Amino acid sequence: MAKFTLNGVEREVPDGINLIEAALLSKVRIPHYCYHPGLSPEGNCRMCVVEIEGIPKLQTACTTLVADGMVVETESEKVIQERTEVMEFLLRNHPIDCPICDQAGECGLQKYYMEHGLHDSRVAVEEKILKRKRVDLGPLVVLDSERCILCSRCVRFCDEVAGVRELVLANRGGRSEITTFPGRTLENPYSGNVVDICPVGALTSKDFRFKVRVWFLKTADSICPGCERGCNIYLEQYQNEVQRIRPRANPDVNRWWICDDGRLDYKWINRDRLLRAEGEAGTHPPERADEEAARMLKEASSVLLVASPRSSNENLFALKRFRDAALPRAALVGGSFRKPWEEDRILKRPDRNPNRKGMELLGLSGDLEGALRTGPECVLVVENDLLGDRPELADLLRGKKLIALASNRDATAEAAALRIPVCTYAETEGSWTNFEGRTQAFRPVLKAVGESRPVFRVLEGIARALEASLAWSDFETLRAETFQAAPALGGLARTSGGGAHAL
Amino acid sequence: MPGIRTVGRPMNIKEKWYLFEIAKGMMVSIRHLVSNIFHQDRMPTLQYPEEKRVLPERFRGRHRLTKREDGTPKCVACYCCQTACPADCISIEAGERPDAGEKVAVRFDINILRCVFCGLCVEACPVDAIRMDTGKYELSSDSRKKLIYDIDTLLND
Amino acid sequence: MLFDLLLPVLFALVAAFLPLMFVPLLVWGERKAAAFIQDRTGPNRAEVLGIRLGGLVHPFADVVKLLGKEDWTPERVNRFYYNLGPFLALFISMLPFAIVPLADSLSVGGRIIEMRAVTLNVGILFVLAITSFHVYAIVLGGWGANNTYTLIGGMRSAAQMVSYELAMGLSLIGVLMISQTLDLGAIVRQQGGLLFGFLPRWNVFLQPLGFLLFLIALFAETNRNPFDLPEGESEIIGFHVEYSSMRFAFYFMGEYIAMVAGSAVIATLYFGGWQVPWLGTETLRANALLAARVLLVLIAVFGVLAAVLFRSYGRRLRILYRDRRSREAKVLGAASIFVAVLALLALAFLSGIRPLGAQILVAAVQFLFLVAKILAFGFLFIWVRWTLPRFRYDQVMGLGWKSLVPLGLLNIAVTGLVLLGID
Repeated sequence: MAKFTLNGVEREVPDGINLIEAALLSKVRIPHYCYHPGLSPEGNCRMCVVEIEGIPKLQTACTTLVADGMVVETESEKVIQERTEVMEFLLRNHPIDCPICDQAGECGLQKYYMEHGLHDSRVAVEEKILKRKRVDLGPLVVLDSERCILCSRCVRFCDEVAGVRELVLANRGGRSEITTFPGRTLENPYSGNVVDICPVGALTSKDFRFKVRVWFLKTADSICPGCERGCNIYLEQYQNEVQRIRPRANPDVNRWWICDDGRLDYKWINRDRLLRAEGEAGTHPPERADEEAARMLKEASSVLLVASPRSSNENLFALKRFRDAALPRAALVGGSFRKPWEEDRILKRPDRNPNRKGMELLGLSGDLEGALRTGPECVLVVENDLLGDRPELADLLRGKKLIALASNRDATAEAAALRIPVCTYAETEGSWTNFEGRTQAFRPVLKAVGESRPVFRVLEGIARALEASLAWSDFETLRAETFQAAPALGGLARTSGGGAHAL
Repeated sequence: MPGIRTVGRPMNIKEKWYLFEIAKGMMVSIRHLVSNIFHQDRMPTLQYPEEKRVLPERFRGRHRLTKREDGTPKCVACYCCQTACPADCISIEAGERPDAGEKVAVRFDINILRCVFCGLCVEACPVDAIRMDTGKYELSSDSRKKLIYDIDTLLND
Repeated sequence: MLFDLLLPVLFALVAAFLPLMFVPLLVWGERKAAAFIQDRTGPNRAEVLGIRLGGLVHPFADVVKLLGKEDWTPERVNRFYYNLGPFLALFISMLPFAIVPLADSLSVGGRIIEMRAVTLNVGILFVLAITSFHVYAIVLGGWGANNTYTLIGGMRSAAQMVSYELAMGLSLIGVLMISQTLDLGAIVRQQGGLLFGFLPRWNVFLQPLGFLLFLIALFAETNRNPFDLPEGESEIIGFHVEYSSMRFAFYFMGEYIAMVAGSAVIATLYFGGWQVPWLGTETLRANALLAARVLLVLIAVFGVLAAVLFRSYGRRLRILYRDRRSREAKVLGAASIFVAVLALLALAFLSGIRPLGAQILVAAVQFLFLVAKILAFGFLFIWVRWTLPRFRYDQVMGLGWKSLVPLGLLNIAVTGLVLLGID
């Protein structure tokens, strides 16, 4: 532990952290651009300068480790003047692009100009140095050199985190700029993160480009459904459509990053949604759909319920209770035929189902293929695209009554005799347990699309039609019951809830 | 109610009878009636479609989108007007401008049915792309669809 | 025989259609007077071939509009009551006209022809009975429409009518005490002479307090402002909010006909009905030729005056519009000149009148005076409506029970004392 004085107040902080971190522990924010907790400190933006007693010149807080007895001043007159001048310097060649810049609204320059700059420009627009605009860096990223303040966060990210040396700083002085090597592109599978860490609008996302202004977005804490890593993300919504995914910092799971596949894994939420329950006789209102499902389940001599490692723990538990309460003779098997992808050393895990572990802990795994081969007359598939993942199953399922609780018009839903729309993870509460056994909650950001309902509500409805008692007053009751019934899930893990640390 | 004091003016005997007061009121209205019959030209009414009021210089009428010298719209789709609009009547869709690498509005709809003519969009615009100086205020139509002005209508206003 | 059969039919038709004639006139008067009182121009757009008559075409355009509107019946209404309401409103409001004498009786070939549809010797009772029947139309409409607000409107109306019925009856007793009869014809005839040698012997001068009470009660009975709580539009309460098209029009016309009928009754009871002031029937009949000449001269003068007015009006129109509307003044000017010329021609060729002709002429003049009185009261209704604010409900009740009823009793006592004193 180190004792130091911050703005006249004595603080005790752990050893070996820099002044930005140390100040943050006391809720003092030191402005900075180039410093990022996930990257090595470089001290080039000069925004984080602080006054330290005994040192005549101002020091960069990001490169100074806290030491016992240090006396630090972050708001002294000298520091404030320095910051203002740094702001003016950084904005020397910055174009007047805010109206067309995607970063506007979450831009470090806008933020600190309002907090520390507020100067009138001494540089005429014509005198500014022009650089390359709209440079196509790679499949996901567009560079606008004029807006860049050369903090080199992106260069360090590629070097240190992605492990590829794809970006460099080229040229000198006012003409310095970020670039790739000639003929090469920024194409590592984590390239999207440079957009998040870029404190200004120099690196912007091609996927999000011009789509919506960020101040219209509504955000919710969520979990990436892409693989069993369970990266923490922000889901951001506008006009009830998910517009983008950003990583949410969690040092224990994904640190500040997500992979590009995860970043783009939202389009299915907005597309090809099942809006109304559809049977062979056309669309049904929700209650009719439940009754129809109940009728089909009741008439069948043997029933197989298929759970999915993509369902939330709560929905899986609800399915289990549904079997016990309404269809005690039915078989209940969980599993997925989703093809694994290639693991990497950074975040990606091979299994592309976010809740494999949770399903196993709830005791729902089993031989799915074998269960299908036993020839059940009616199969209720919950949030599981069996046919899309393995088209060969079509032969096996032929002649069986298929009921699908699906969010999208996937192959399974299309093949089903009755398809009932359910909410995706973006519209409901829930939790997934990642491969390490960490149970993480996600929260809804969208209103339910069409007539879709949470899975457990549909199961309640079917149970009611089967005259079985199954009801939860609200989601919290269901969650509590779930964690009580399966202590192995370990309850909800604490998430840090920190931002992507743009600044 | 606490904080509210009712101040009543006591009525005198004559007023309590009402009749005199009513007669006084009746005289006021008949005076207007008679003088208006004989001096119809002094009435403030304008015979609207034939006569029109002279608009003040800063009258806020129907919107228009301004153009650059080369005829392309000035709008850069920054969404500032949409953000400022208290009636939520503007909806923009941004697109890439192929020549200059800039943002441009590919769709710019104003739902005039919702518009409250507050002029905040004009205030908000950083590039002077939207103005309300057309002086047009006759905005009726026989369908709602026609009252959602698209970018072409607005550019030619 | 045929004559005996046809005459009642004729008078029944007159009693039915005369009030209907007044409706467009009063509607126009209402709108135009309201506009002028409020410094507006009022209706002036509807036209037939450019003729607008200062908006007089509007009521007819309104009829076309109302006929063209969707005749909408809300769900879950009590269909019988719902449909009965407007019908009753129109029908009942027309009834008092049946007993109002339109002129002095004619004597043709030894036969006395009463100038009214029904000769009732209990006329006043009939009027009271029928006007209070009007409340049914309103209550049925309010109840049948199965809407809380219409019901509130209907209930307000019922309470108001019951309260003011009493004041109305009490105020009338003074008249009855003086006239000693319930027959309207007799009451009118009694108002023929002179009072103190210079005033017409109208009941209004004998019963000023009674007249005032009756007038106020009549305003309340006809649901006119300031007593128009049953359809207080600012509170969106009204018995007819659920009506559209012609059923609404029935209520609407009913209101105006009630106004006309009320004016007729009040003119009959207090203002001498068909009596021409200072000129009795006999005097008029004796000087029929002179009367006819004066009438024709007046028509000619008015015609010329109208033509002058239209000319100046036309000049303004031409400046304003420069379209076919500017023709209007010319056409109307020509028409009034034509009428004036006709009147002068008639004057020139008029040399004598036969007794029957004299009787008919006098009846016509008397009828015109009745119409003039009715219109004057119609205007009073309108004038009051656009001057006074609406009473609050408790004020309506307070005024009725605490002021009008005691004053009515006082009026009876004073009248009785005076009559005793004279005896």
